[in-house]
Amino acid sequence: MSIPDPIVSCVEMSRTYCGSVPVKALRAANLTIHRGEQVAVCGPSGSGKSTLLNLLGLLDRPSAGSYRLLGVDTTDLGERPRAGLRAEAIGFVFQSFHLLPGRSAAENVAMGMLYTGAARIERTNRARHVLERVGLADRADTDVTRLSGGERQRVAIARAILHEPALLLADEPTGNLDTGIGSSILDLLGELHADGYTQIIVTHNDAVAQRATRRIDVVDGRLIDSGT
Amino acid sequence: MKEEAQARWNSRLRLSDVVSESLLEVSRRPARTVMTGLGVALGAAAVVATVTLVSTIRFQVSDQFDARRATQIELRTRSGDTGAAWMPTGFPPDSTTVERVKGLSGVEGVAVVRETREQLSAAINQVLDPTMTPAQTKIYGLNADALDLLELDLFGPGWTEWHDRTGQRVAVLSSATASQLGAPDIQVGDRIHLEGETFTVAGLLNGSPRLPGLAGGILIPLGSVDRFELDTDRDRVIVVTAAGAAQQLATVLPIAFSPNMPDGWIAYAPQDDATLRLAVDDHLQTFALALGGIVIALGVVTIGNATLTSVMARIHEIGLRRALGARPSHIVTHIVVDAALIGLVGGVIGAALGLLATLSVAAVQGWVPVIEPRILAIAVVGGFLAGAVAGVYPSRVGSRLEPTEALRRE
Repeated sequence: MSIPDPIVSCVEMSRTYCGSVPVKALRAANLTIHRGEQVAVCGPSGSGKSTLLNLLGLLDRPSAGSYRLLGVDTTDLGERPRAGLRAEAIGFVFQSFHLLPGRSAAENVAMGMLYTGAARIERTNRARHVLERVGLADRADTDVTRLSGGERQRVAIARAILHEPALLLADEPTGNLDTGIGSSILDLLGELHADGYTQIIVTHNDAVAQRATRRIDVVDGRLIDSGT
Repeated sequence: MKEEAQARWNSRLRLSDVVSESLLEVSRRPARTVMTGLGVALGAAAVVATVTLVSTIRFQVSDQFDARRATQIELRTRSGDTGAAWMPTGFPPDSTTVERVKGLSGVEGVAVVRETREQLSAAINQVLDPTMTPAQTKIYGLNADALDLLELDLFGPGWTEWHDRTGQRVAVLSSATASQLGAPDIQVGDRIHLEGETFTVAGLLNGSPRLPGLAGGILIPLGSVDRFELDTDRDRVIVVTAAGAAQQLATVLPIAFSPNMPDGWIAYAPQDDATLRLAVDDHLQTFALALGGIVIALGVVTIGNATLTSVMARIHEIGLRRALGARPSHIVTHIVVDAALIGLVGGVIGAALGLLATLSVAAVQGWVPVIEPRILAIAVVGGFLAGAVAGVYPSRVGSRLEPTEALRRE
């Protein structure tokens, strides 16, 4: 399937959390991300980075404005196609990995296509192939609780790319890793970018941002696009 | 465009994946699964044990009592029944009548029983010991067939149709009666004296299951009892039938005995207690099901609580699944099937425990266990359904979690 371009297009997208004191977490964001970009979203804690990532990953809905993903206006889209887009077009990498304990690396990776309707055998075969791609072929049958932090994040990345998503979203992917291992993870993400994966990496680490092809800073809910 | 997106993008979850995901979850923590399912297991065990025990006991009762209760008809003359003045109805029935009745399909034999009006004097070795005071006892006259038909537990030859027809003076008595007469160690061949007439002991009676009252008196041939004053109100004919035939035969026996005056006879068939017993069984089964239902309800609450706790502990997993494309309905499905599998495990354990309880009781009591496979299936399926019901509320809680909230809460 040819991937439409741009992949991400936000117009005046805002997110306000209701409460006794409404919090404007994202203010009128305008953002376009093209196919093959590797974008670092930087900013201090509470600036609105994760809010932006959740909106782009269709885990949350904007309070105002519009968001088009792969040309699809997601603003008023129902839960079924939103879930479908998450299952087939988006890959998530989390800071804390979110792997299921008691399952092998291959079983965790195979979950990446659990909700696409793919047959189990296909998912398992692809999981082993992707684990090989991230350098963990020999750990495929190991319980993830017995893997190191770096290995766990590689498993999480393998799960995120199992279905070859159009958009890879990473939330502080090196946040729980020491510098050396974090660097190897960034190397892996760089390789995947070279393979054509469009990536948005949320980070407050300048070193991570320096590797990206484009940097966007978030300050008090406003986007400042520093360009490439 | 929106319709196009609706059609193009759609997350899907295969049924096989639902089951395999739940099996992984349930098998990952077997101890928790078993402990959680224990509530349902106890309920299922209560249902299986009670229902199978009721069936087993019912079978034992039927086995012991049905044969006698359902194979015996007692006939009395109408005058004997009401005291009203009736024309003679042919009692005792002559051999032609007896043969006619025995010819009826399902009739196995005809026993005729008469008894004396008063307690008559009876004594042993009175001649040898004239000072001994005679005891008072009832005397029963029985035809020869009655000895077998009434299943008398007899030591000794008893008497034959010849003794009966010719009025031979032979007698049968129980050891209790013999003790009453002052001769507990009486032997076959000894003499006893009834109203001054000498009779030879032809048998010792150990029991009379069909007519227990006989053991309290002295039995002599029907042809010999005429010499004493009889209580004709107590004249009766016992017709022993094949199993299950008594009810039907009771309606035709008066005609068979007196074709010209069937109203002169009243047939007392055993009450058809099958209906009564079924009603009792129904009550017991209802009680069992109610008891089991209460325990299963407790099991549902247990599984529900455990599942809710599990949902709370797996919030991040729910967030992850949502991120991977799960819809709220998929989350509901996962949680309900997880709980249902725990219920299924409980149902299987409960069925096994209930079965074991019944087999143990049957083994100790020496009973034949009666196990209905249906109840085992009901216990297992019931456990599964109970678990599914228990999972409904936690699944709603889980499915309503916002993915961002679920991912953040870890």
